[in-house]
Amino acid sequence: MAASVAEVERAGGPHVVAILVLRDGAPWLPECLDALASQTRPPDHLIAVDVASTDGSGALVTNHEGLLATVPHRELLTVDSIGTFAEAVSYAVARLPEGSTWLWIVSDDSAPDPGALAALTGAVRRSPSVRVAGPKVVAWDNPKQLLDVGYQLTRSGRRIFAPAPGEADQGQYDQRTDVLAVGTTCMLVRRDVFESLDGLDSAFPEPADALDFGWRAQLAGHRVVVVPAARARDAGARFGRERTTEPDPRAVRRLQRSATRRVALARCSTLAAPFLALWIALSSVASAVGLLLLKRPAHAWLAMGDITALAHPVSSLRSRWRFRRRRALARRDLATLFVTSGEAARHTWDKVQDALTPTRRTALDTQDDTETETGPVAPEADNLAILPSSFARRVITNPGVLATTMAAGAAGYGFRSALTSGVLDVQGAGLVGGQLQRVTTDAAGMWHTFRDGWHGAGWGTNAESSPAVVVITALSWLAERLPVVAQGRSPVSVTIAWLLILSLPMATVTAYAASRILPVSSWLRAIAALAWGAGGLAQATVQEGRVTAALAHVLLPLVAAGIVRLARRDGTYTAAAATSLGAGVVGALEPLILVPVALAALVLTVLGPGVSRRLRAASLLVFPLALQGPWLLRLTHDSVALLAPPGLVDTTPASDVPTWMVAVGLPLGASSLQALLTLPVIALAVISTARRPRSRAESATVSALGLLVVLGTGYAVLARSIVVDTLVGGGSLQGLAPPVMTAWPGVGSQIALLALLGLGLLGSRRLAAVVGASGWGWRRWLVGSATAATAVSLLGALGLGVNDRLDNGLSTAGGALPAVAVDQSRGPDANRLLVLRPTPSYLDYELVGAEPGSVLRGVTVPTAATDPGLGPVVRALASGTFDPDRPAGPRLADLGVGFVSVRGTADPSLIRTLDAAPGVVRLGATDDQTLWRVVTRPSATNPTDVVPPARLRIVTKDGALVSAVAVSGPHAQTVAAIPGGPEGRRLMVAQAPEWAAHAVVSFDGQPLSPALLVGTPAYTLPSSAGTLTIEIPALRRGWSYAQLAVFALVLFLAIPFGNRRSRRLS
Amino acid sequence: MTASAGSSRRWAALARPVALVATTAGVVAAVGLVPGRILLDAAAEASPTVTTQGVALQTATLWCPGPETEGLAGVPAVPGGTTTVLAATAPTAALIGTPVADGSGLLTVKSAPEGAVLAQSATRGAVLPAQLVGPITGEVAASGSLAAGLAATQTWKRLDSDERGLVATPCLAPTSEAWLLAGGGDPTRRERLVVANPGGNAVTADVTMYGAGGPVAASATSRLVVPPRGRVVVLLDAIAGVEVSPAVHVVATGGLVTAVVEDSWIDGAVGRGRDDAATSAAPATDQVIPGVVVGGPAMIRVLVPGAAEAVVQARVLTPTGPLALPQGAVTRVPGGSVRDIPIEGLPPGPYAVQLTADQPVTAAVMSQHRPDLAAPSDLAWAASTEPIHGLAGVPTVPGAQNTLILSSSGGVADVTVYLTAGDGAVTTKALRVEADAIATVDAAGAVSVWVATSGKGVRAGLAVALSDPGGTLVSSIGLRSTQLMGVDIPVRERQG
Repeated sequence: MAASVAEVERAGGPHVVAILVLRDGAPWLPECLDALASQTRPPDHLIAVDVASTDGSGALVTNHEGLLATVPHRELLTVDSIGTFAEAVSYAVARLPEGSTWLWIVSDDSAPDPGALAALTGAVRRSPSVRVAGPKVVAWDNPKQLLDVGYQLTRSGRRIFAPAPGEADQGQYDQRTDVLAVGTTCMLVRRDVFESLDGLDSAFPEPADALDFGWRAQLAGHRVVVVPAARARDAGARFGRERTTEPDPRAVRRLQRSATRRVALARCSTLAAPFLALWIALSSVASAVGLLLLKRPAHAWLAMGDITALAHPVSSLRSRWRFRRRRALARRDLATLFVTSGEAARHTWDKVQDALTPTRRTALDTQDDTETETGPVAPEADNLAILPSSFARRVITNPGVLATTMAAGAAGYGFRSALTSGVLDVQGAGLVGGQLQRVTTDAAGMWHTFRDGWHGAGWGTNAESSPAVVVITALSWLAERLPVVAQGRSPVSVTIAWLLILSLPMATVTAYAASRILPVSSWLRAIAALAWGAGGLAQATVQEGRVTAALAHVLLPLVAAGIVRLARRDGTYTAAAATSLGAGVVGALEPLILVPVALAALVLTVLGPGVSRRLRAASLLVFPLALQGPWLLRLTHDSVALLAPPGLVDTTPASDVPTWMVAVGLPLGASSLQALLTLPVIALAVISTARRPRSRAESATVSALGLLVVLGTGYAVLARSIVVDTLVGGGSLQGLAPPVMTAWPGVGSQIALLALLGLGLLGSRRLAAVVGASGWGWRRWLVGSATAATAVSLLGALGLGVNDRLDNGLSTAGGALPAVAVDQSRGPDANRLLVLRPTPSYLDYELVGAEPGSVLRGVTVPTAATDPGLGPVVRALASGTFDPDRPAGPRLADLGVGFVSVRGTADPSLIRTLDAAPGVVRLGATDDQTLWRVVTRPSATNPTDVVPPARLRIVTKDGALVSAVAVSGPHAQTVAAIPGGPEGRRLMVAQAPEWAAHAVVSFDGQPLSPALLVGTPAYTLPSSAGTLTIEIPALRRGWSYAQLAVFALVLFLAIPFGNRRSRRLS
Repeated sequence: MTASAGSSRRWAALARPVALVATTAGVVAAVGLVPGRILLDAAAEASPTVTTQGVALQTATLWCPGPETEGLAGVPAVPGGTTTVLAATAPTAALIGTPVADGSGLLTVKSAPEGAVLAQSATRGAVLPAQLVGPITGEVAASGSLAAGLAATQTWKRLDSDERGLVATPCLAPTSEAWLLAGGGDPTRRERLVVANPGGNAVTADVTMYGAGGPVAASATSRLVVPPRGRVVVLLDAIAGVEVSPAVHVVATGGLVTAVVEDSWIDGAVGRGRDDAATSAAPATDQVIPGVVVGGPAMIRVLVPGAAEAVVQARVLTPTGPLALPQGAVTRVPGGSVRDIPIEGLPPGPYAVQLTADQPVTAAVMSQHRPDLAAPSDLAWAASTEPIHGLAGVPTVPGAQNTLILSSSGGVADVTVYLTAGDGAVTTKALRVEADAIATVDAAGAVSVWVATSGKGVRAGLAVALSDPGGTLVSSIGLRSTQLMGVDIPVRERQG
């Protein structure tokens, strides 16, 4: 029998009873018992409470030899009906012998260091006011890793994890003493304090019960300290039915957060409780929304957990009731124990920064997330990369940079005459020719083209606009952010011209970057990227000004890589969303591409391995199609819109280009030498398919790519037979078939080339294994020289192509409009320019206003607008038989025409007729056009005023001209103050009659209904002053919003937030 | 691994690229060999070829210069004469094969710029007279069913005093340029240039004068601004001072004009007569001046507008064929200058004058009816004209002897002449004009004369002679092709 309580007390130390709670703790218990037994100051008494253990824990305690030797009194209590740790402790305390002064609470999954109890008792002896003391808690497996050094809490009950989870112990928290609470792990508490506070409150789950206990002790006037000199390891096995250290960490964290808040609610002042409850509700919702926006759904779910603290009001009230009248201190006396709001904010900011700081890509990472393969480069060479070479050196010797530089050089040299003749001028008119039509507008104008229910050049149309317009609009908008561009005459044209030139290097960059998905030699990737980005197909694309195809050329490699990534195990939802976005944009530019993308997505959705991959594939199936919005409906029944949208039509006669050139991806044809030099790349790619696929997945990929090569090439050849339109103004010769417009073969060639290059790169995998890792055997020589020969022939073909100039068919000056007419069309009068072009059989006329038409050449679409009378005026002008009673000038002015221009070959009779036409005055002539101005007319009500030709004008009841009305948007949209005027006056709108069905005209908020007078819409205005509003709503507003919502969603999903590590944690 | 397994694997490896190439080639061949085309659009069908075609003329307008002596600042108008416009439409018989607009039609003579209606008729074939008073121009407009086949003449005559003379000039459609050859350097000889602007906008007319010594340096008045529907009259002397052989080139910018030069000559106290020179045919290497009657001194005025010297051969066409000028058959004319070639040694009678040059030239002929050197006389200016296409006509001068002189310089030509009497009766004469010869038709009793031909190089002039005790007054009117059909140019809207 060891010393009695009195003996211990006399010896100068407190009498300590260790309460050990057991519950199936066999995995940890032996170490725990060893630790107890090896205490330098062992407990004086041990009570083990075995809560229905089935693994013989009780026997382990009773039979532990060390304990037998060191702890004088030992008891084992066995109970069955205890649910919580708190109850188990209370059960033990109730059975304690009289006289014990201190309780040391130990759970079976913890192991105090040998000096722990000595340090704890030392602390309470030094300072008698300390009634609760806890050790520094470290991880079970890794004692260098901190778990807890006392509890840190804000007043609102938010737990601040300092140390952060996983933080290493470097003694940085060893200064901490007074804390709000310590954990139950090896907590030393004075028995009378424990009993006076009714012990741990089992209403709160672990570890909130300890927090609550510490808080109550502080309120009751007892100090709670952490003693960093005492250290205990904790396995963190919950005291649940199943003892495990691998529970669902998210559920636990959620529960703990909620419990912590509940403690705060129970222990704050009664007055503050409702406000705290409100704050908890608001802040948890707000932070959940914020985290959702940062794409951290798991964190958001955790944050939402806080709100469940409000779901236990009764239990909180009960806890509060139990603690009534025991408070000894004012709550403000505890202020120093809480984490201040400033500290809390700093802590949050640190976490955000940690999530955002990009992770340095280390050699370890690289090996980690690719299927390790280094291609034909010897491992020794790889190892050299460990030596940090200079940044400049790495850039210069990077194959991708070299390929891009070559592509940029090719673009610059190919466009040399455009570059020297003003294409760089931000104020200029861009490029015209090939498929590029003249537009003079900015991004806002283009946006109206897409959005407005009545839009487009001339009289306008209600036809749906292709989403390609949005892509051009968005890029122009971005370009307009550059200085000066927005002030230019036509930012859209300038943007398009720049995009065309830049598309070659851009496509090379994307092809090189996308090929990273295949673990092959970067030199081979660079060759493939150059073949894609600046080869014959890319050159043919820009040569004809096909800006949509050029942009698709830039994006296609990324989309293809995205699809491969999506099918892999390491794919992410963010990458899937980005691929969907890319595919959606490419689909807008080249609708036909949607077909193979959707098919691939469908196959992966149905056959893909695993739910995640199928889900990702399904997103690729749904989003790109949904992004097309209402245009998708059009694509399903309009094969021209699918196969030959604007910019993807071909006017080159099929006889001009041999079929084999089209089949090898030269839709515009080339010299024989150039075509022959293109062949080695194709040959090498084909030969590389001889290598046996390594896996089933690779085999499937090879088959799919092969199929794409066949189908793409087949479509390219077929496209030239798909006639979509006869050429207008082609001047067909007698007896010959009229020239026709066909679908552009290039789309098929893009698919085929992409697949072919993919096959080639796939075939070069593990090349090192074939050619030999080191030394120069014949295989090495063969592969090396074949690659070098291919690269040289590719460069030759490329050089020949750009030497023939890429801007042959494009011009910087073509189609420029008279500046004075452009200015007026953009002004408040918004009058138009009538362009007359004599041709052998027709007099062509075109009405040019500020509203842009199609940027690219396309199939002639029958106009939806009825000519309100311009045709007869032009006819009369052309025939020179003008009715003297209805002169041309006023009739043109009534139609909102401010200028007339005769272009092309001078037609003297037409010019003379216009010269003699009353109301039209010649302004001047240049080499290619003669310009007349339609003269202003006097106002009937105020003869000193003149009324210019304008979109909107007010006339009296009898039709006499009163004044013009300023417009502020396309197709006569405006908000204008109208002064009072004569009774029965009318607003005349120089638009087509169909315009009235799409425009909403109101006066002082009252809608006006149209009446057709002399072909143009007219509205009777009240005689009072008021505000005239004309707007043109979107054609299908609901669809537009849905499309916008889908775009926003996909964009949101596609943008990665934070670094990879933080995403992984979430 | 056995050798056979290795080799079969090698063959299997080869199969993939071969299959890829073969399949692709097969598909390409199959697609390429399929004949025909896939038409995706109804619009892809060939659109009909549209050609410009003639349609019934709806309106026709001619402009008469108005009283030539009116409106000249600082120079009083010549009193005592009356300016009459005679407007006529071709008889229905002359319009066979020509589409005529349906419904009614109206022939109107209006004054410009006021726009007052001076005379109006709805009858085809009749001659509509109207008087022009003051500094105005006459607008002859025919519309509807009367639009096709319009011709008009403006005449002025005075029999007494030294201002006497007979002036007759065709009313013409406006043009952008006019070549006018008339006048001389004699004292008290005045040339009035009348430029009228039928259009609705002010027109700038640049006047370039050529003389015997070459182009005359431009003066301030050589640029005339003609108000809308108005006219400007200037003396050529104001532009060039005294010029022995003036020729004028009027170029309009910003619109179209009509222009004539009235040449009036008083030799001391003896009236030498007056006449209007209508615009000559545009410079060409072949020129024919029809309607020349030699009855006294006559001369050919030739202008070489180009810089190069021209060698001009001149001959006259007679009923029996061409006849070289006895003198001056070949003349060298320096570039940019005017040369008068006298016509001498010819028996009096009707002629046409034909010029052939190695450089483009334009020309006119002045003939004087001057039986007695001291007695008052009259002069007539005949301008070179374009050959007649289809139909040409002219109202005759009432009370005078009107003789139609037809010439053919393009081979034998069959010509139909319609003579419309005052009562509307039409006499049709079919005749043949031999190559490089003339034929004359007496138009006595006819109020208008119409010439229809399908031949090339047929020209016609109306020689007018008014017998008077004070001396016969003469004039000459070249016939211009009348507009029969409107041109319908199809228009097509292009989408931007």
